[in-house]
Amino acid sequence: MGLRRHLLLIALFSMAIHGCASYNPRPLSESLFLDRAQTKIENNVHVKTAVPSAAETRQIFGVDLYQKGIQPVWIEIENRDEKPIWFLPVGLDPMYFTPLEAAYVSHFRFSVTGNKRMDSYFFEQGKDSYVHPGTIRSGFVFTNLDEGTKSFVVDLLGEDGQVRTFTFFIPVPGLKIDHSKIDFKELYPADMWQNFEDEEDFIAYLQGLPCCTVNPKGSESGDPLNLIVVGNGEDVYHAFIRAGWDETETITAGSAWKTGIAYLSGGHYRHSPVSALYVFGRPQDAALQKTRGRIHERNHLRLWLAPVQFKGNLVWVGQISRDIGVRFTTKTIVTHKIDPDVDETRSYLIQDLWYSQGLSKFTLVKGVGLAPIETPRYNLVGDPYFTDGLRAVLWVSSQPVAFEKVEFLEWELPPK
Amino acid sequence: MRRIWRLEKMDSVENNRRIVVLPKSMCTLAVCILSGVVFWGCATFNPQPLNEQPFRERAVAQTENGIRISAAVLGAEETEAVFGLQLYKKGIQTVWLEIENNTQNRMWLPQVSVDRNYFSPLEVAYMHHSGYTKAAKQNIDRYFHQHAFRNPIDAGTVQSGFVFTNLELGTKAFNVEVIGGDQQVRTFTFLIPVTGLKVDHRDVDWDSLYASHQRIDFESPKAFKTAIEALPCCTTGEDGTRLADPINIVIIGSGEDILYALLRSGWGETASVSSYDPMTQLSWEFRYQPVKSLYFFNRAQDAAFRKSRSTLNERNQLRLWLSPFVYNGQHVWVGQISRIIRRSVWEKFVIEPDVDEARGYLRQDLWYNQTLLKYGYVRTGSVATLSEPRKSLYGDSYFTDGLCLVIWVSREPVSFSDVQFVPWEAPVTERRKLLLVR
Repeated sequence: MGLRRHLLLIALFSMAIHGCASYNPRPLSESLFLDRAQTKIENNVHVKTAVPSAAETRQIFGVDLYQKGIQPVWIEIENRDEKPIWFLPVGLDPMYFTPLEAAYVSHFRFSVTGNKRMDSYFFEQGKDSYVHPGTIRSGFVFTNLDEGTKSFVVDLLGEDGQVRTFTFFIPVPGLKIDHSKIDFKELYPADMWQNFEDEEDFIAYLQGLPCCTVNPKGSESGDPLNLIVVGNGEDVYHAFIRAGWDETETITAGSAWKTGIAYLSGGHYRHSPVSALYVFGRPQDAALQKTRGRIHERNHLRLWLAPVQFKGNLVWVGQISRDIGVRFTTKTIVTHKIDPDVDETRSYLIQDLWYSQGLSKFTLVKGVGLAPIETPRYNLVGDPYFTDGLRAVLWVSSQPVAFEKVEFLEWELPPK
Repeated sequence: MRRIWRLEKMDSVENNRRIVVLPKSMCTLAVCILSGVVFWGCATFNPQPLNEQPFRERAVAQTENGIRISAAVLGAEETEAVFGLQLYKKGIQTVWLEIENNTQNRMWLPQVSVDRNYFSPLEVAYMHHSGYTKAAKQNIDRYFHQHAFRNPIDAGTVQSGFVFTNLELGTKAFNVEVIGGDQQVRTFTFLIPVTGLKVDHRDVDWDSLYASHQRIDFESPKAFKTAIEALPCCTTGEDGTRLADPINIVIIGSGEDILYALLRSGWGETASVSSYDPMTQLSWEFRYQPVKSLYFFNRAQDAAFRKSRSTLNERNQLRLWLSPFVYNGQHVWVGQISRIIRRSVWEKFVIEPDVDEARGYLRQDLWYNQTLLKYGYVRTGSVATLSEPRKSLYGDSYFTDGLCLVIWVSREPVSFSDVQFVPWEAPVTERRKLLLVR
């Protein structure tokens, strides 16, 4: 009797293991995300890509990949050339996941058959990297999650040595981004706009800009405005995103919560929000950040559109700082401690854009005012900083600029 | 407890001595605590005035087109002696650079060329502030600010200082790029051994691996290809009878070129088994932990490398054996590469069953890092599919198209479009189809 009962239990239990969690992904053709697909063509090769949102991903793969920090990118390559081509997923994301890895982290706890089906489904959805002439290959590459805009390159290498590079910027539904809410054209009335053709006039204008950001009332000065970016919205955006900068979320209860978790766990939440600083009587038009190791190690950048153009290009005034730790303050309880050597951070940004081929010209101009290390100035939360008083002026480009083609204009020489 | 101690006291003479010692050690403890209090209360920062002579003496120097660079990497103890702080504990490694500008132009060193995520001097200073007085904190800041490498390097001058990089043990591989008014980029590559950790390939006695009559030279591609095809499919366990993971990589090039190629692409060396003791290793040395040995040519791997992704538990690992083959005067290395996707609850590393993925990753990785010269494929094993996978030594199952990747590495950067394909075996076009069906 006892034995039979045990057997029954075992039988029930094993049924539970095999039958309980069922794996039912919905085939790709039923999903609408392909309507957002973008196509680019270069030299007989067509590349079409699309990025499913969190909900669409759950449908297609039957599991929540976004929650695991994995974002599938769908790619279709049509080779109308005469040579076979290789697709290199490393170019898309150097730390991409393999299909079976993405499946493994999504495995059910108690379903051997379900997991097996998941493995072969993921493997089938993967992307073959070798594309023969006259064929079309499509599939998913599993990348690290980027919210907001997914920016990536698809590098294709012909067996004849021909390189084709396709750059994509695909908006993914789900994240509120600072600048996407702002209508740049409406920021200033038409009669307020000024256009500079002459370099001297432009330099005089830049030198006359306020030294620093201010608080909402405009009564106290904060971080120095040590950055001028020249370029149209697209150029600025693409250059920074290509260099690995992320858009930031505006502060909402949800995002503050996510930042809190990232801070406590020492992990990093790449899109954590920044607090507002004021120039031209308003908070920043765009805020970007670049994470280094953990959340305390980040670089922050804020940009404000100025009511001027230089030779037809928009001009942005900005502030950049390097977070080096977290400290307590009486004003905001917790704040990021910034590197007091703000010129170092400014120099980092020049290098960063240069190395990611987003910089075409740069120079320095006065306007911040000298603050030596012995008598530093203080920002709004009481962090000291010192500076040589110069601003970096950066001409950015959405098209890659070769390393040795970057120009330095001698408006102001860097001090020793 | 106390009672036992009393009993012992009465029992032996030897223990009597301990009784005398005990109060004394307590005394020392008290002194320690007291002095600790004193130290914490008003810790001061008094580093020695910087003497660059020792770095200059042992520095590796390179000259190109009017620019001379000397570089030295500071070990853990040396760093502490210079800065009076344990930078290694925070994962920071100091590189000393001296740049002499003999051109007519002003030059710059972009620190990102040395380490894309370098630390700024005051950031490093800030990490070490805790426990110091306000004045001492200021001293620390000034000291770091003063001794960091400063741009620009004016024509005809010499500039020296430190760059603060992320810690790497074993061999530190880095570039130093100098750019300037003449719109020219000069790139210098350094491979500098760091004192401290002993890596596996420094344990190998390369000269005694093969006697001169064992060496087999190949000139013809066909004969070489046949020799590779004839190699056993797989590595084995120690006894040589049970098959382990498949051989899927052949690298052609000198040991130094391969080391350079791998280190430049972000691969890390692993510690030699004989010198590595997990109990005494410092926490930051964990990532150099030796890999499990697999056997080929009747011996464990000569060198093992790993490349971590976001965590140490997700990584690719590569084992290499020097073969007795020499192809067109170059050494031939046989290897096994696999991708570890997770560490399971039972402390076991889970290996990606699609082993060919790891092979493809290495090819791309070297390609992007401009160290890949040529590549091709050779068949060394048979096909194993997803539904009928093969078992490896430690119970992992894997499937594969049975091809082995042959790569030639280069010390000189190879531009993206100059990488050549050697058409020995065609890559499988319908790989997914081939491995799914049957």
